Amino acid sequence: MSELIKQVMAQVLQIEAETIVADTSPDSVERWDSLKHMQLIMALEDEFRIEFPDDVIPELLSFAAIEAKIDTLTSG
Amino acid sequence: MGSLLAAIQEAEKAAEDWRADARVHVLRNYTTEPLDPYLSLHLLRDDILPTISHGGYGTIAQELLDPDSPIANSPPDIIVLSLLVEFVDPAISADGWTADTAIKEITAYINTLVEQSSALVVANTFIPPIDVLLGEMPDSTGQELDRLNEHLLDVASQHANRVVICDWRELPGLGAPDSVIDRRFWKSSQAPFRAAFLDLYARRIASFVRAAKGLSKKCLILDCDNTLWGGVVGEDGLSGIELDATVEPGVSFRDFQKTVVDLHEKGVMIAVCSKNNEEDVWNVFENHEHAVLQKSHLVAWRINWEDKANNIVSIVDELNIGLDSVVFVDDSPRERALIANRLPDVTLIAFPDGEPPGPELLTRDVFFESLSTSVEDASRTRMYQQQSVRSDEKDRFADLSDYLQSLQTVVRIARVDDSSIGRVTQLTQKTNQFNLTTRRYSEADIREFANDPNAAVFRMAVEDRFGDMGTTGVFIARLDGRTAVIDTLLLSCRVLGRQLETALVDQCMRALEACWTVTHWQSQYIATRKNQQTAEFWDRMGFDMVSGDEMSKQYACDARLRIVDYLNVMTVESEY
Repeated sequence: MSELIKQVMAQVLQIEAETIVADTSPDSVERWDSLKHMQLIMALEDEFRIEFPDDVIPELLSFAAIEAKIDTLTSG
Repeated sequence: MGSLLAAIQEAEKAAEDWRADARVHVLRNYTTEPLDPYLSLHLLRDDILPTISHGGYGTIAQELLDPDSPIANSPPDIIVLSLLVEFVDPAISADGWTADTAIKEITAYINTLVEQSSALVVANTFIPPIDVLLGEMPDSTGQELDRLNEHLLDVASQHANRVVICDWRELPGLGAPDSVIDRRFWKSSQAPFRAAFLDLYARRIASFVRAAKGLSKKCLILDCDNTLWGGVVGEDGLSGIELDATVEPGVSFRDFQKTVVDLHEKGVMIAVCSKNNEEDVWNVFENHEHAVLQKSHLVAWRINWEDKANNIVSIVDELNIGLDSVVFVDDSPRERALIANRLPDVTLIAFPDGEPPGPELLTRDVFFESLSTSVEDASRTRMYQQQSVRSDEKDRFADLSDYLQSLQTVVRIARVDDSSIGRVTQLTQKTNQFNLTTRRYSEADIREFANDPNAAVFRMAVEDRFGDMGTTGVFIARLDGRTAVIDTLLLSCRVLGRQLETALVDQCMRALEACWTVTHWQSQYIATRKNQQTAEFWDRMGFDMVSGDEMSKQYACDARLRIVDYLNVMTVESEY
C-alpha cells in the first residue's frame, strides 16, 4: 500500500517516488500547495476507493499522516 | 472505472509514438485543475500527447487581450472555456435575475476568443448554480438560464468550426447532484465536480481535440452475431436471433443498430466484418422485420471465414484510410485480443461480456466527432460507394490510362473563396497520406494566405462519371523574391492514383508564373508516419533535391518545367 501511495504522490506532485519518506510534506515539496493538496486527495481517493472525511483533509500533510489515515480507512 | 493512475500509466506505456501533441488551455472562473488527469488519460489513450494549462480565475478578458499572456506567447490548439454561471454574474442569487449581463459577457468572451486566437474553443452550456443544485440556495434563475444557453448556442453557431459546445446539461448525473458534485472541495476550493462528471467532460473535450487534430475516427467496423443481433444467425436462423422492437434483449440490439445508422448519417463509414455465410447476414439485413441497418448503409464488408485482422486490413485498403481511423466492435474477447495484438492502431470498444450492447457503447467516447458541417462530410458514404464501383471497373480496362480516360474526369482548379475556405481548411487538418508537408491550418491562416498578394491558395474540385467528389486538393504557395515556394500540396485519399496531383501542381505553377515574376520554384517533403507514398513525389515531378535527409527534403526547379501527360486522361477547367 505504501508503494502505491508513493506512486500517487509522485505523479500528482511531480517528484520521484524514491525520494518520498515519512516526513515528506509541503515543507519539503515546494509544489505541494493547497491546490496540489486537493488534487492529491482526489487521486488517493480514486486509487483506494475511499473518501476522506472533510475535517481530516487539512491534516494529511505528510506521507506518514496520509499512510496512517488510509490504513484506518481501508482496514475498517 | 479502474484506477486512474494505473490507466494513465498504461496509456503512456502503450503509446508507441505520438500521433500529435495538443496544447489545451483552460480559461475558467472556478477550479478546473481536477480535470487534468482525466483529460490526459483520454488523450494519451489516443496517442495524443497533451500539455494542459489553466488561466487565472475569472481573468479571461485580460488573458485574451494581453499581448504578453501565455495564450499570446505559446498559442494553444484548444481553448476550453469552462464557466460556472454564478461567477459569470454573481447577481444570479438575487430574485428577478435576468440573463442580460451574462449574455453580454459570454458573447464578448467568445467573439474576442475567435478574434484573438486561432484555437478551437470548447465552451460549456450553463447549469444552475452549484449551491442551487445542492439545495442550499433557492433557484431564482427561472427561464433565464435557458435563454442564456440558447444565446450561447447561437453565438457558437455563428462561428461554426471555431466554437463548439460541450453540453453539460446532457452529462448524466445532474439529477442526483451528490453523485457529480463534491461538497467538500466545492466549499474549500471552488472545485465542484466529482470523477464521474470530470471523466465525461474530459471525454467530450478529447473528442473535440481529436477532431481539431484531424484524428477523428472515420470508419466503424462491426461484427454481426451477438453484436448487431443476439445469437448466431447461422445456427439460430432468421427467426431465432434476438432483434426486436419491444422485447429485451432484442430491443438493445435494435437500438444499437439505430445508433449505427445515426453515425452513418453523420458521415461515418460503416463496414461489417463477420465470420458467417454471406447470404445469412444479408438475409437478416434484408428480411428481418426489425433490422434497422441496411446494406446501403455499408461502405464495405468482409463476410467470410478468414481471420479478422486480414479482413480489416483489406477493408482499410479498399477505403484508402489508415488503421488508426478505425473503430472495431466485436462481442468476442478472442477476436478483440487478436486485433489488439495484430493491429494495435485500431480502436477497440470493450463490449459488455455476454450482454447486449448498452445505449452509450458507441457514443460515450465521441470517436467520430466532426467539426465540419460541410455537406461533403455528410455524403461521404455515397462517395465511397461510388468509389467502390470505380475500383470494380478497374479490372476491365486494358491499362491504367484506358481506365482513367473512361472515368471522364473533369478537374476544376480555382483560387480559394468564401464558399470553399471551410473545406480547404478541413483538408489541411485531415489529410495525412498524400500531404507533402502536413501543415495544419486554421481558417484564419488560410484567409491570411488568400489575402496576401504574395501568397496563393488553390483548390481542386474533381468530378467524374460516377459523381462529384467536391474539393479534394489544395495547393498553397508564396513568393519570396523571385522564388515561389510551395508551402502545401495535398490530395484527399479518395482521388489518389489518377494523376490529379500532377494536374494540380502543373496548373497552379502555370497560373502563378503568369501573375508573379518567378525564376525558381522550391518545394519540400516532410516525412510523417503516413505520407511515405509522397516521399519521391517531387523527384517524379522533375524537381531536384537540394538538401535535407529522409525526414525532410528540400527541392528546387526552374520555372516553366512542365509535365503535361495528365492532360490525356482528364479535362481541366481552370478559373483564376
